[in-house]
Amino acid sequence: METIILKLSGLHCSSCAVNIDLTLEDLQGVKNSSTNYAKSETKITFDSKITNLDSIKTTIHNLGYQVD
Amino acid sequence: MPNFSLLTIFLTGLTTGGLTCLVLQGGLLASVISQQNKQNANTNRLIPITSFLVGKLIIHTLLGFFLGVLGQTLTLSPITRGWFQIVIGIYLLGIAGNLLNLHPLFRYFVITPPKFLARLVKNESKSQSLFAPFILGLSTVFIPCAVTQATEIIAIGSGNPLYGSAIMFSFILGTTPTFLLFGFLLNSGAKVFQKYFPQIAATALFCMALYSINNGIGLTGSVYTFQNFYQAAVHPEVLSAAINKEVVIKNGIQETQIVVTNNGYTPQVITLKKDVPVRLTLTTIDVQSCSRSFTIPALNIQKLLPETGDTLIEFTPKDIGALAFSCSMGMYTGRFNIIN
Repeated sequence: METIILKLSGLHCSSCAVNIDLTLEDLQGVKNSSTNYAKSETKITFDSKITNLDSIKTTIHNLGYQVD
Repeated sequence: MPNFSLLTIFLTGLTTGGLTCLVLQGGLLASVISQQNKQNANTNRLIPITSFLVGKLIIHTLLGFFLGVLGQTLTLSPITRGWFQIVIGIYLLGIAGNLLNLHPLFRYFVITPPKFLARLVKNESKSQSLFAPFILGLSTVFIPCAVTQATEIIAIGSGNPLYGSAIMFSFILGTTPTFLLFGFLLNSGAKVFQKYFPQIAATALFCMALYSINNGIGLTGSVYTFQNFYQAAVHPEVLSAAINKEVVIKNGIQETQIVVTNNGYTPQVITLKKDVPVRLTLTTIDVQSCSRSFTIPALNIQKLLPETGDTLIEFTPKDIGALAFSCSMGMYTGRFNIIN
């Protein structure tokens, strides 16, 4: 299990943060996602055998947010 | 609560509903509509949207009722409620600052809903039943956006279940046209709102914040309210007239009278002697506004006056200086000038 912290931008409300977590957790291989709206960063725990950083970043982009 | 502030709340819902609430709740609503269309191509789009909005309106009006009750049990004195109103106002300023993206610091004003509740709502949206939109509308109460939270706090601050329901009803009703519009527009609709509404919404929030803080100041018994500044600037003769007034003492008691109207109290300044008992008669004739709820915050006196009649309040002023009185909302104010 790998854990990374990504700095995000484009989160204009706290619901965005919740939305990101729900969508990332639906992604195969992602065990847990915890987005802090105030700090604008996400902590993601995932299985590197099933998914990778690129898939996670793409998912976030598709929701309309940017990874710094 | 005067009608104009319900209107302000309605307008805030109208302008901010598109921006802050739409982002999460709009996405869920859209997924419900698309699920429905898969099942039955002829389904009218209006039915799921209306079902959703009715559910949302009902649950939030009910919530407003309980928030008002909560506000009642929390309040102890006008001064406590006054400080509560001031804190509410500061919170609203924080939300407004966040909407305008003034500084990342303002993000800490927003309360993030817990994940498990949001997941509950998301799972419900995948259902294909016709009842799902209504249940989804009910469950939106668990994932309020920042401005909804601010309005809920105002509902608590009203300390009255009827005002609380009216406040939440007006706000959600305001958000309804935007949701209806979104039901027919494509996803690009959300981007259009994002461009224009932050400034309008922040302005409305700023006005509500000032209104709340000003009322709070009045309720704490202070004389530094906007109404008083305005009076001092435009009608200084009202204040100076009372300073030279003679105090009337009969049988060791100061008798005085205040006439209560829908728009406040007359006279607004009364001179009284310290350490002499006061018999204050409050005269009401067909009064329906919140001026019926008379308070002298510093003495912890709160009295609900009849629509028509004479009400007697007795007290003995102990401290020299200004003793403020006002309605329970802190809107209509006046003062006793206590002299030696």
